Amino acid sequence: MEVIGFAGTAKNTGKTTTLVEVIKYFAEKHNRLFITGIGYDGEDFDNLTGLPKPRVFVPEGAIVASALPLLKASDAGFADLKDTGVRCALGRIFTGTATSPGRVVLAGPASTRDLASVLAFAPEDSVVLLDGAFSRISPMAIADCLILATGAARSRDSHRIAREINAMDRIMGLPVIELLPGADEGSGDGLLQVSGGLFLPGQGQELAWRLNGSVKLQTAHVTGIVNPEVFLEALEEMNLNEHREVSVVFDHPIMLLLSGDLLRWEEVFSIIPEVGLTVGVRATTTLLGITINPYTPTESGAGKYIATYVPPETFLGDITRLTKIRCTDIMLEGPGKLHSWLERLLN
Amino acid sequence: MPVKHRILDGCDVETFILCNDVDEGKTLGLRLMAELGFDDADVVFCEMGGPGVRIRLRGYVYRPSADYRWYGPEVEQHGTST
Amino acid sequence: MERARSNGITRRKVVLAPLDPVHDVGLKLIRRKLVERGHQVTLLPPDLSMEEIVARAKAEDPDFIMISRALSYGISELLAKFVDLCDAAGLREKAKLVAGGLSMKPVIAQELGFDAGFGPDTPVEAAVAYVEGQELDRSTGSKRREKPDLTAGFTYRFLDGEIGSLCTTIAQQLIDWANKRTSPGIERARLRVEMESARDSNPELFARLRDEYASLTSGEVKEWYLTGKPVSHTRPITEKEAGYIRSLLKNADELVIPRSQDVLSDRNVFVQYGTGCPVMDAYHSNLSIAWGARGVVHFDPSWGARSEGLLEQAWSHEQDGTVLTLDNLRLIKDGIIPGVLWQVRAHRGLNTPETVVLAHLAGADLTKINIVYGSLGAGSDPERLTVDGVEAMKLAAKYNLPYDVVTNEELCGVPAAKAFAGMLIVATAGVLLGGRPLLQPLFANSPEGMITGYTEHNFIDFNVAKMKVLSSIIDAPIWPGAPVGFLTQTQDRCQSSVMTALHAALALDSGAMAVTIASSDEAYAGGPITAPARVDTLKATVAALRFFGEGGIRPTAEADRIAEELRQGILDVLKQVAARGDFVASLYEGHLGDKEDGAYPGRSGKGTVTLKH
Repeated sequence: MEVIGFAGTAKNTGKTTTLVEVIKYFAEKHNRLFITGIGYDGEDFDNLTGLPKPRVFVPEGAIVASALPLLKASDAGFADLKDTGVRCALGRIFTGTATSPGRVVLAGPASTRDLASVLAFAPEDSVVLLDGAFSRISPMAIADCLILATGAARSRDSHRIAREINAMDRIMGLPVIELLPGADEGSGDGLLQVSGGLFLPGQGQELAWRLNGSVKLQTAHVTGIVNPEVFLEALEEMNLNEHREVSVVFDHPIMLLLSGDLLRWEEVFSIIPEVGLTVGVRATTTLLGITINPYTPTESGAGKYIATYVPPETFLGDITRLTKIRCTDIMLEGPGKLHSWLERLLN
Repeated sequence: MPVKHRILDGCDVETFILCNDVDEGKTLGLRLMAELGFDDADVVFCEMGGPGVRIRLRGYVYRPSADYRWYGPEVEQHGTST
Repeated sequence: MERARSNGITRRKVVLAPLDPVHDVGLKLIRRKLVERGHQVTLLPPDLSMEEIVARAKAEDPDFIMISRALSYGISELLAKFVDLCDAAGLREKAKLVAGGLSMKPVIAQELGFDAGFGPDTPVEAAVAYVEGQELDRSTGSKRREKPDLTAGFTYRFLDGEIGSLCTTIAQQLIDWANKRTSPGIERARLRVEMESARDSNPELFARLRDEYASLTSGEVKEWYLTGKPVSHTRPITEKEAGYIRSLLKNADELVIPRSQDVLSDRNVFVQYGTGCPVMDAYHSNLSIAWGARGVVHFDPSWGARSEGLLEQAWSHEQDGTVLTLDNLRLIKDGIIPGVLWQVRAHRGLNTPETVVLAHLAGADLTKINIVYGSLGAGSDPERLTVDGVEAMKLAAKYNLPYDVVTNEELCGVPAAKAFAGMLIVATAGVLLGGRPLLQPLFANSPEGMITGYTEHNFIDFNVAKMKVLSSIIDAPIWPGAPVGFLTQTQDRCQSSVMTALHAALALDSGAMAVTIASSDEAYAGGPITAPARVDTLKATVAALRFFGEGGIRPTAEADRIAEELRQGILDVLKQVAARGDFVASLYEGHLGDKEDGAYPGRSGKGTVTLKH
């Protein structure tokens, strides 16, 4: 089972368009699909802007997990309905196998815990497609790999987008560091356990003082959310002996993407070598690539929105030039690049 | 299926029409309904005040016992989809 | 999880976080209700960062985290971020996340990743219910599924001995008189019972009974039984139409019930349907029920009262009133949301006893019988309707069907005192026959109200006086209607809705068990009532009930004076009728309403009553 997540840096960055292309790709390859989402997607018009949205079509044979009323209202037929026992804001989530192709609205599990329960219904040989919502990314830690959507809806400034992509690329590329067996049981033997994350002012200083205070400590395992500002606070206070090899290990790169300004990580990464610290994660998710979308809804006054676009070629060109990771604008370049990422994944 | 056929029975248009008297207001109102494509229209309420009429117009899409066309091929049911 | 106080509810830990200082009123209300019910509630200050809220919540280890924030496109990303933080911090292992505020609705809550979302229309009770583990599906408000018994707890004892004894004397006389007589209406009711039991099991017997039934019919109904020619303006229901009705309840459990109408969930508000088309009736009924109606009343065409006999099969009628047949009733019943009270009226014409039979066979909860109104205001011969009315009350008692006794003759101009005297006589007869009548005074700007000046200064005193006098005479349920506000509504839908709503609020405030309301199309005669017009008055009624709440409506001293006048008037009428010693003669002679008042003894069915052998 391969779980592919579709996350965005903001609403309207093109997650659904990417998802729709990926569904098409796997349908043509006759892969068994299991499709769900952590929000609400596939409706005709956006709930907030009122603008038209891409529709989600599923092929015959795909398994879909969504709120029961939405499965019933779908124009695809569904058989073999199973209650996942998980409830979302729109009702109980069921899985169903599409007996005919058609359009669905996805309303799936919102939390990591519920998502895990729903994914237990995915067959072992299936490709799981996990649709995101807004900039929500926390439950995507479950995914094996991630396609990230960003674009003008996040910022019209291509340079800023490129910097953010680079920061995310660095974070997602942090090395996996294995902790010794028994590490979860508590601190000791050179391991410092820090629960509760690093996201409140003061937590950084405390980490630094504890590391500074005991020369035996080699590893700090930080569970929970990490804010770059608070981590910087730790780095600034750290006073490590140059012969000491100290690692800070976070749970998952996604924990580093949830709090604070993403661009502050640039500074973090520039300081880390000076401090003499190794930073890694316990588990990770592969970033397959980034889709770039020049679309952005613009408020035209009185709560009405209109669809606007930044110049697509320049926008994509700037970003591609300023980043190293794979990027594509599906509407501009066609789905070819996206397909090549998926091919690499399958092989 | 035109949205009109998803209307259960009637469609009211309420507005204020600038005119000289109630009769003119009613005539204009019914013309408006004709322009909007309601061929079974009536004035429910019309009162002159100041520069015109406060008017409520009704276009019946379906009167009881008519041949309803609420359910097109793309819609199976109502009241349960979002 | 411990039990909260002694109310048997699991005590929950709830963290309330206002994300915006001007929108924490809702959370304060929720806090008050939750604390009252024994839950442990922490209301966080409004100036915390998202990260601080997460840290504070983590320390509390709550079962629920509720946030409030007015929503906009920009703010939505912040809320999504908050959801992510809660998820990553492990709070969602245990806690449910709930969002409330302007523009919030379930689909947006779902997209943002909350477990539930409440908009500004959501009553605080809904949030409390969610915390207490009641299942929350979509935007569904509370809809009670059990049917209330509107007559429960009433003893039917006369509190006014003088009036009680006169009513009993007159009612006994009319029962004794009627017991010796029969009519084609009574014979058909008997035949209908036998026909329906033979219909599938014994076709030969059924055919014989049906011939006999046909011989007792008249006019176009007779022609249909004999030749199959449809009655004017009717046509058989098509298979497609029957399909529409059946599809209505396919997903009954998921029908959206607006929370904004929850105030009505413990009030018995009835609406009337009778568009002529059972499909439209079912739709109108269900949308009314969704918006808070607890009961619906079947209206049949007026010709149904004047011709002998009722049709069979399912029919669509191109004019007002839905044809009364067992098939039509069953079809409509199949389409109506369960748990709603359903009244089939049998109050005025030549098919009164048979209508009670059909109501029973179709599974109705209530019927409507009044000899006096049908005789003086609806065109039926008094002698005939007295005989048929007594039979109808016997059948209703046998089938355990409560019925209201309506007084719409007031609309013809009959003074309330006379109409009430008639209603009390008929209700007394009903009780003597073992039935459970409900009194149905008119809440209206009746001709009498206008002429005497009872309604000159307000619409409160006259109506309150009616409630006062009736409840001082007998311990019986009162159900003003039908509908309330007659002759006060205009064609303007705002005025019409306000008048309806205020009358409904007044009725419920002055002790009514139920109330029947009109649509905002009440005063519009140019076409059928539309669906939005039904929603209008249900919304307005909620607004009025919300406005008055327990505050009550204060009548002036006039109300007591009018009540006293009404009592004296009722007493005078009853004395006259008792002195005459013949109820039917009193109907003809105008003791319960005369030509001067605007009441005319009807002629339908004249000369059809025979003495029993």
